[in-house]
Amino acid sequence: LPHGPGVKRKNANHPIEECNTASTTNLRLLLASNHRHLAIALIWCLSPLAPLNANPIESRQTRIGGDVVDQVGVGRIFDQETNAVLTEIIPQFPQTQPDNLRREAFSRSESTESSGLASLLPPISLLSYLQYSNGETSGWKIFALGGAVVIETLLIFLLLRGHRARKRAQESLRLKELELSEAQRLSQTGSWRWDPRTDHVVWSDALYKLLGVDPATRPLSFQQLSKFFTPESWKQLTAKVDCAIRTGETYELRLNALHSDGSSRSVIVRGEAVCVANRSIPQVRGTIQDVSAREQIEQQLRENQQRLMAIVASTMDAIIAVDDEQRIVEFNPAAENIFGCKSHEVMGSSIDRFIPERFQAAHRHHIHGFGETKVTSRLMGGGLKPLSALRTDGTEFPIEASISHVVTGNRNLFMVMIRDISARLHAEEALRESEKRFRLMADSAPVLMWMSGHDGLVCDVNREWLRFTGRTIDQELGEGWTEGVHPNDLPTYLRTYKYSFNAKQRFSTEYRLRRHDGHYRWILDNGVPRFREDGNFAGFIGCCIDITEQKAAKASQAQLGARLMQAHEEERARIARELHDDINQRLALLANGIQEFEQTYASGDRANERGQLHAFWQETSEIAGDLQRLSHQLHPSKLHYLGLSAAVRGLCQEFSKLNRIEVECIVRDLPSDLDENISLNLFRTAQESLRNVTKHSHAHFVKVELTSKAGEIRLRVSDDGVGFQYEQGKNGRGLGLVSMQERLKLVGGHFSVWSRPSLGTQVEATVPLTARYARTA
Amino acid sequence: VLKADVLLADDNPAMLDHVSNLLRTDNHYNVVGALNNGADVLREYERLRPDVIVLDISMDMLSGIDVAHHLRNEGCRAKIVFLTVHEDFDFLNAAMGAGGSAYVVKSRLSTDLIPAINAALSNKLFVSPNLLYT
Repeated sequence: LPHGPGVKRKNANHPIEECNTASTTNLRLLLASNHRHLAIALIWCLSPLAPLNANPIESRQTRIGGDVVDQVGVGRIFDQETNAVLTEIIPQFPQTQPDNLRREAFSRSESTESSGLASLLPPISLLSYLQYSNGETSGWKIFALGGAVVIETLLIFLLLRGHRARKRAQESLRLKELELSEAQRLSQTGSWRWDPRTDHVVWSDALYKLLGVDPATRPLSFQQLSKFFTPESWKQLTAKVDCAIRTGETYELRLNALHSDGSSRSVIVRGEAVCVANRSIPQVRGTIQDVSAREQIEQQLRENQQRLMAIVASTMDAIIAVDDEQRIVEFNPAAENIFGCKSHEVMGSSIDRFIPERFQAAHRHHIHGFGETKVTSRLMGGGLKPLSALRTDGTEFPIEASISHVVTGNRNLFMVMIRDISARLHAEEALRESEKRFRLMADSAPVLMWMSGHDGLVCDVNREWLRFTGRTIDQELGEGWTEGVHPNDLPTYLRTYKYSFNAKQRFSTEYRLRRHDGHYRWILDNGVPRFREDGNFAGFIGCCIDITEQKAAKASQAQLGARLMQAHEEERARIARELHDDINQRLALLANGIQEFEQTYASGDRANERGQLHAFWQETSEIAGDLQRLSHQLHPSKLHYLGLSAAVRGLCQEFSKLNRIEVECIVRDLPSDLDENISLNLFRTAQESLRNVTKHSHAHFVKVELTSKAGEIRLRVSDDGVGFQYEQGKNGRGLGLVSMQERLKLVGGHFSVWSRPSLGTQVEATVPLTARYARTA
Repeated sequence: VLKADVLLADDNPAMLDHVSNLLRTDNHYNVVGALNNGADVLREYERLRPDVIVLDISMDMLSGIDVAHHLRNEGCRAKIVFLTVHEDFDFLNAAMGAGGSAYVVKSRLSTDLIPAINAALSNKLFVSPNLLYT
């Protein structure tokens, strides 16, 4: 039934009469058959349009004039061959405005046009009322062939309904596929299907991803799948697939797949054969699930379990697991050792056998109570009172135990860890005893003792210390003790202490410590590093004695020595002066008198008397000379009048001349205003050294050096003699070396002797040129 | 006759007397002072203006050598003759180094002092011979 552009419309002047009556008969026939069709269609589709079209259709001849048609704007349909009007489509609503009517009629014909299905149905007549364009409604009944439009409309509606249903189905399918793919991705499972007849393989997206293959590539044939499996795995898989095709059995294998990046994956492969209608060879479909991660976790779990088992087996602590009824379900080797029985002997028996009777009730109660709590583990016995356990031989021993609670399934499991602490308790007891003994010893010792920890802080002092300082232990601990040390001595002491502490080496030092009466006393402190049994440094222990008296005695002894020496020197100087100033002068005068007297005999012949007087004069002069030498020896007047340089030079000359030993005397850079005490002591040292050379060394050459450098004067006397062992020399040579040492100590100097048998001797004395000893101008 | 003014210094009174007498018996010398210590010499020499100063070495407080050093430092032009018991070369060196013109040992006082003073006055040096030959 052609419409649209194909519709041939008669012009507006075409009279209704020309709608030839010849075709009326045909139309009647058509309508009759179409009526049946429409009725069937209406009933079938249950369309909402049904009431509209359910009006009775009457087979009556109707004429509709062209004007009328144009005025109401109804659609006209012509027979293509006869050009007869086949139908005028006019809805039944009289109140409908012609414009609306026309629009509706055309929109219906438009949508019908595309389907083309309307042609399958013959036209049908409609009963309607017409409303003219001038507003009048005529009661004409129009027989038309509008039935086709209704049918078409219905068909369009049905088609639309079908189309929508298909769309919904497609959408639902798409969602299902998406869900399936997501599920595969999440479960790391890929699926495949293989038609052995065509070798056609279909992979799911997840399978591409799982094997690391680009989804754009064509699925590989079944044989080509082999490159994604290890040879061994592939062999197993093909065997199972063959079996499945033959017998229809499903299969499940755990295989090693190879990812395209070369890594190995552990996979579970499942599959089955599917029989398809009218196909002799079934298709095979299957899934591949990547379980590498799970495998890894399982492996870790296994390892952890093994490790745990190893720990349980090798631990020194007894581990016993008991169930709710206190029956032993686990008993490790250490437990066998500690309790003296085998694991198989105790399995299933009550743990009470290892608990002394008096504790059993309490233990049960505790275990029960512990099971009730949500706490997973705790120390047994509260860590305060020692617990006891019972060996199979009936002996009791002290233990330390902890318990933990595990729920497996519906079962409670209590893990009890037990440690035999008898050895430790014994050691602790011994240590306590030893500490007690030490404390007693320290407190009763008449010396001051202190102890510091590895942090350097004092952690203990003995009773004597507290008695001495008159302070409490709390005042002395840490760094409190430093308050008692003399402020002038503290920095030096701390330096020594810190240095020795870091070097972990013993030290001995002196300082002043305030006694309880406020007096500072000199203390000799000997510190020794302490080490633990494992060799670790633990701190220091120090022992102090009051050396004030000793120090004073030593000082007074030194003072006495100095005074003695000084008195000695003074006495010698006095005698020397006496000899020089008095006797020598008088002798000089006597000699002069004799000489003058001799001159009175100058003339005349009393040569005899004159000769005698000359002899007297000579004798007197010689005595004067000897006296002067004696005086010089007693106290070197040169030192006083000419200074140390001249005195030492003179000494060397005199020595060389007297002993016929070559002496090299080097005197350099001596200050002119050298203190007389220093001069005298250095001179005496040189004198004593030279005396030793003549007495002991058998030297041929002596070198005397007297130099001043860097604020000190240095005297060095060295010889090429036989030398001696220093210790022997010190003991065997009387006061020689000792007195030299003492002399130098008096002026704050230092004395040293180096000698070896046959290698000569070297004596060295140094004196600092401090303000105290330098003479002020 | 123009007498030379001589200033004596010795801490031994007997020696001082002896030397004074010796010089007074000689008409060529005028003893302007006889002092018993070195410090007095430094105080008096400016006032007494001696031509010759006879100095003992061994004096308390200030030795003859120290006095000579001071005199020379203060620009004193008087001749200095040392008269001492020290028959020792080191003393001789020190004395002459301090500006002495003559060095006489006391045991040869009567024979050597006058020649020594005279030598000094005529700008010559004099040393007791026994010291030179030892």
